[in-house]
Amino acid sequence: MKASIGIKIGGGFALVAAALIIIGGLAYMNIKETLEYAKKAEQAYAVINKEGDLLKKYTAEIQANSQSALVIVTYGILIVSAAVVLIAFLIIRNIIKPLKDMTKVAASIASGDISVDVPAYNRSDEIGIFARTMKDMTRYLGKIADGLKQIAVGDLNVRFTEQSERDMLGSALSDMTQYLKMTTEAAYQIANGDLSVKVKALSEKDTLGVSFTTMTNNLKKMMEDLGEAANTIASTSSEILALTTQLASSSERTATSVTETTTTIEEVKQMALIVNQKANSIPEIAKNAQEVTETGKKSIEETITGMNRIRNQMEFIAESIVKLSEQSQSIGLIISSVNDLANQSNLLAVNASIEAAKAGEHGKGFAVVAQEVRNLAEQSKSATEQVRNILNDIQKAISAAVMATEQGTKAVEAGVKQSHETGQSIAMIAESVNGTVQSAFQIVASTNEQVAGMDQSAYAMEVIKKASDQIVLSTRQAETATQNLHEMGQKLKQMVERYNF
Amino acid sequence: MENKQSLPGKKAIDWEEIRNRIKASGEFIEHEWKLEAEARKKILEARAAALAREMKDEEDVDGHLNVVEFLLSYETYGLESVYIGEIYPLEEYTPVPCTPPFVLGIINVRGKILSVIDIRKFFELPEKGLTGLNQVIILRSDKMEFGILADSITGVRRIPAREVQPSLPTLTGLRADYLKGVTKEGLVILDADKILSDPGIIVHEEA
Repeated sequence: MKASIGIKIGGGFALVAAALIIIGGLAYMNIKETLEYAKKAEQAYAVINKEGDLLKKYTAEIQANSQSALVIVTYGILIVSAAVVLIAFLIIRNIIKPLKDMTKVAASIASGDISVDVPAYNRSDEIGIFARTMKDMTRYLGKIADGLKQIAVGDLNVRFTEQSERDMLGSALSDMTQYLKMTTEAAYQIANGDLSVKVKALSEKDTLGVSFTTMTNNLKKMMEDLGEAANTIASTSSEILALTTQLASSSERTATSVTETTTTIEEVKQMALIVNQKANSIPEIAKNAQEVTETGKKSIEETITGMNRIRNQMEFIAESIVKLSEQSQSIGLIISSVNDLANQSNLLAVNASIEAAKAGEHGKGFAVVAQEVRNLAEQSKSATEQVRNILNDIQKAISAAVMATEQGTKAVEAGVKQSHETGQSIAMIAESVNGTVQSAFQIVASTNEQVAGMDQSAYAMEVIKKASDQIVLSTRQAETATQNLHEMGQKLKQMVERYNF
Repeated sequence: MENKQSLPGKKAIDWEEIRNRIKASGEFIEHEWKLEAEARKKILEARAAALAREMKDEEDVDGHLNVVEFLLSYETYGLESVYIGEIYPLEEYTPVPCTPPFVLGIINVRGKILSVIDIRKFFELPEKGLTGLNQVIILRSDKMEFGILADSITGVRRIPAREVQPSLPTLTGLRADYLKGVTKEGLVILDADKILSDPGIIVHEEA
């Protein structure tokens, strides 16, 4: 084999060199691909973990490693190509092959497959170290991935020991779990009703923290509003309760009043019916009254006729009395002349006595006669005096009679006038009676309407009664509903009070 | 018609009674007018008996005074009938001018002209209101004849002379001169003779 190799060295050197260049170019290409993969992995990691920065850095390290690897490879190429041509074949056989394998492993890691099996080279050279380091890396990455998986299923009890002080990925994981634990704790407290918990946003980009803060604030606000609403509901429902209670009692009173009003309407109706009956009887009474007034009229006419007759009689009586008076006057005249005669007789007797006295003894008898004549004359005189007195009395009586007759005549005239007035009064009464009859008819019509109106009122009252009963019922229901609302408000209040904010 | 029951407080007029009363009074007048002959005869007989009585005190004729009593100013005076011519009713008189106040005037008594004296003025008696003054008592003597006024003549009496008392000492003056005496009843009897012969009563033409 060595001979062939030696033979081929000269010819093949260029080939080998060319091949090496090609291989190197290929490797370079591969490394470039790896770099791209690394970039993709970076993106992938970024998707898995929102805190992608650390992973990115890590990937950058990988990239750096890859770059150092590239340098090594480049150096190798340069060494091989420049110094060792002979042993190139050997070297190629001992180096290229592991490198190829290791490149494959790196590519797998770059594509995210960290479960790839890193071949173990039991050698102490750089290849072996590289392989062992790669193995450590995969193991480390696996641990990180396991932790992330655990976090992804919600288990935050991840124990991760940082590999070194500069273990950024580990510390990031550690920080992440701690952060998540803190947030969870806050969520737990909120779930238990303690809204006083404060979640501090780590940065402006800490959306979770900001969201938590916003959430607790919003919840607080909501709880406050709810509390206020509950209070409002409680007080309002109390007021509504009071109002409905009042309304219920008012409705009951209304129902009572309606009942009383219905009774009153019934009474009024009965009264209207009585009035109707009475008014119905008025026309008959009025007819009787008309008959009575007719009779009265006739009586008055008869009275006037009678009065006129009496007046005529009175005139006759007055005439008779005047005649009597005149006759008594002539008696007076006669008596006066008789008195004159008596006076003359008396004087004659006195003169006769004087003559008799002159005659002395012879005249004595004659003196006695003369005395007697004188006595007779005196008697005649006193008789005429009496007659005159009687005549005076008669005259007085006649005057009284005339006066009485005159008064009687006047009384009769007054009676006639009175009778005329009475007749007029009776006529007026008759008219009034007619008016009364008309009024009575109107009253009958009015009371009929009144009765109908009362019926309608009674019906309306019935409707009002039903409505008020309905109102009472509805008010009771409203009362119950308000009671429920009140209780609900109380419950809501208690619920809100359970929250501490 | 019902009113025939009369008004309360007034009795219904009993026309029957009134008619009866009028009839009775009419009958009474008729009856009294024609006095029955017997009753008239009784009266006349009574009068004749009275006239036929004898004068008991015929022998005392000188001791009597025939006195005509008359009323003047509510007082009763008396004059002896011897001096009285007659009594004449004063119907109309003619006042005479230029005569004393006590001369009323002159009257015509059946053709004879006489003067009339108001003795109240002559005696200076107080005039007590208006009185009748419708009688003239004509006094007559041989020398004089005139009339004095009187209200009325009461009558002619015979008075026993012893009953006439002399004039009262309380009366003085003119009245006392013409008094004849006063009776127990207070009748003042004037002295007609003195009045007739009094020169003061004569109206002198030259006065």
